[in-house]
Amino acid sequence: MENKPRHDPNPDSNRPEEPELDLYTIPSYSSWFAWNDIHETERQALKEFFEGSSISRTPKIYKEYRDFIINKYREDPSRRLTFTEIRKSLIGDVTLLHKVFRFLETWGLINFLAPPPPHEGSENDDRVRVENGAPNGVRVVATPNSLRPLSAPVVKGKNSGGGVEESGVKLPPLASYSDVFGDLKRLHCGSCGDNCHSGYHEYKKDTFIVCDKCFKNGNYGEDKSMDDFELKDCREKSAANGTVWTEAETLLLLDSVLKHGDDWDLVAQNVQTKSKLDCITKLIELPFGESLIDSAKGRGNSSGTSMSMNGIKPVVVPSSEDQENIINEDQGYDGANENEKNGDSENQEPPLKKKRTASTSDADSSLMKQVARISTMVGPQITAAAAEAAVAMLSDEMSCPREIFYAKFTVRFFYISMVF
Amino acid sequence: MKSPASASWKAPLKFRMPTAENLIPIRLDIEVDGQRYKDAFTWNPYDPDSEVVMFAKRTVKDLKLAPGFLPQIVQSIQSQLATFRSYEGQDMYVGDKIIPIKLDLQVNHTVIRDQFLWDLNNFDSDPEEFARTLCKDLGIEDPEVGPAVAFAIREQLYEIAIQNVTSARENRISKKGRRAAEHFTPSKASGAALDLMKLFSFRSSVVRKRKEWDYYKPVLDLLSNEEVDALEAKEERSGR
Repeated sequence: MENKPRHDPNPDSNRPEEPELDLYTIPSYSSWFAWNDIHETERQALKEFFEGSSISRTPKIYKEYRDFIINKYREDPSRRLTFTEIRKSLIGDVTLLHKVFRFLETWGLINFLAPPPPHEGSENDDRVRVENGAPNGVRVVATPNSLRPLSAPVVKGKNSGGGVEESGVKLPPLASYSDVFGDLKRLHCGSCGDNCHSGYHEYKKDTFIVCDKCFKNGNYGEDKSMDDFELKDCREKSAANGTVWTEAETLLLLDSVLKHGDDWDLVAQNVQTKSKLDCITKLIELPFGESLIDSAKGRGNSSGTSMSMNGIKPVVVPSSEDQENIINEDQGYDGANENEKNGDSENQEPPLKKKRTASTSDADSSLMKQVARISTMVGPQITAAAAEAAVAMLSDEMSCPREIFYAKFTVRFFYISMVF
Repeated sequence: MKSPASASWKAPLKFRMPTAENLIPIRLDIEVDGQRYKDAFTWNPYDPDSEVVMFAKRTVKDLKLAPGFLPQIVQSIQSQLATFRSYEGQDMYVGDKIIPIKLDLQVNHTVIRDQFLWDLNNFDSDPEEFARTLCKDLGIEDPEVGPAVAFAIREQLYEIAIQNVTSARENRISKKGRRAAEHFTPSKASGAALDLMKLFSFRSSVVRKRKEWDYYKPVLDLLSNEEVDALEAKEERSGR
């Protein structure tokens, strides 16, 4: 037997003043290892040797395997010991030997300081081709800055004139909401958080924008200077689309959207005088435009953040029955939202309301009572729609899955509507 | 402390491959209209028989074989499966048996010769894993070598397993009953089994003598293109 090597379980110890001792590094989690003993760890991992089931598997035999393999490795710790190398020297079942080998390797008793297997890396490179770019199965979509709705094959169904309400033979072209509206929606000032309606200044070195007010005030952070910003006027942008909308066209637009939802081809068809892009752009500019699309889609899913109460401009809307209904519904949303959010019973924008409600600002009433009262004033469908919108907003805010939200809260609303 | 005899006697097992996965080796060597198709692969005997036909069809299509191959492939696979099934359900006495497995095969440009021990009682054994480790440790890059090695191992194990069944049958017939099973010695079976008593006795070491090391390690040869062609030609001639 060769010189019995000393093993040092502490990988940090360095004793340069005793050069004649051989130090071998093993990981600290293997400090249980002892040459003259078999540890419980080994007995557990390699039970076959300790069950007395065969004369070819005994503790003595295990220890021989183990000691041989470790010593073999320590002949040159910088070199990786392979299984094939040791199995020729040991008598026994190769599967079992391999198990012992892997055990020792896992615990760092062998190959701890050896370089990783050289072939695995290169073999993988040969066999697996690394491709740049998106895999073929993934379609590359237009960047969110493009206002164009994404083109997708339009399935012309039997009811080509039909809209969203028809049973689903026809699929509207895929236009991801955020892709179409993303650019305009994201115009929040990086400094004050407001919507940048009247133009914004874009930081050239990064994706950072400030609204005009902040720019003038110098509110854009210390590490930026005035020269770093580029003025981008979004009003110009929309005006550059070169469209002027008459009342009749706007009415037609709203009507179409209600009927066809986000099927812009149909909407544009209906409006006739305006292109698809114009329709979308116009609709966003209308303060309730986005929620209108959502309601027409049949879901209260208003991907949240842009229903900013502060930014709503009073809109001159042609007074027609349709319009009133639209606005009423919308105010129903707003009303419910507001109430849910802060318990106020009165809306913030009385001029926008076509249908004024009797004052319900009874601060002493509980929230539920107020909601109950409001729900009596409108029809059940509106209550339901309002509830859904509220849920959507709140679940977005709370980042809570809508299903859970529904389970918890919506039941109450419907109960109330039914009771009253 | 158990006596050696009873330690080696094990309750009879039902016939199966002594490996973790009960896959059997299938060999094909078919000639039709001057085209020769040789193949070797492992098959899962629990696959439905419809798989055989599907596999045959796909093979004929992929390798662009003449349509006459289809029925022959199907028939060959099925008959080998039938052989396997005929042993199924029968007892096989394995005892405590470790056998040497020998490799001597040529796969494309690689020639391997090797020898190692395999425990027939170790149902965790995995020829495919052994082959993988072998190829990795030797740096063999040809991806066809590994499966060929695994197949060769399986074939030998299969042979032994069948022999274990037949000799178990013989033992029963000889009406010696349980005592015969107890005295089931390796010499009754394939004869290739090792004398475990000698190898693993308390006094002997399980570390081989150095001079023996070379016999139990793999020997790798890489052939040149000409050598490969020459071998192929020779084989074809001898096959006819």
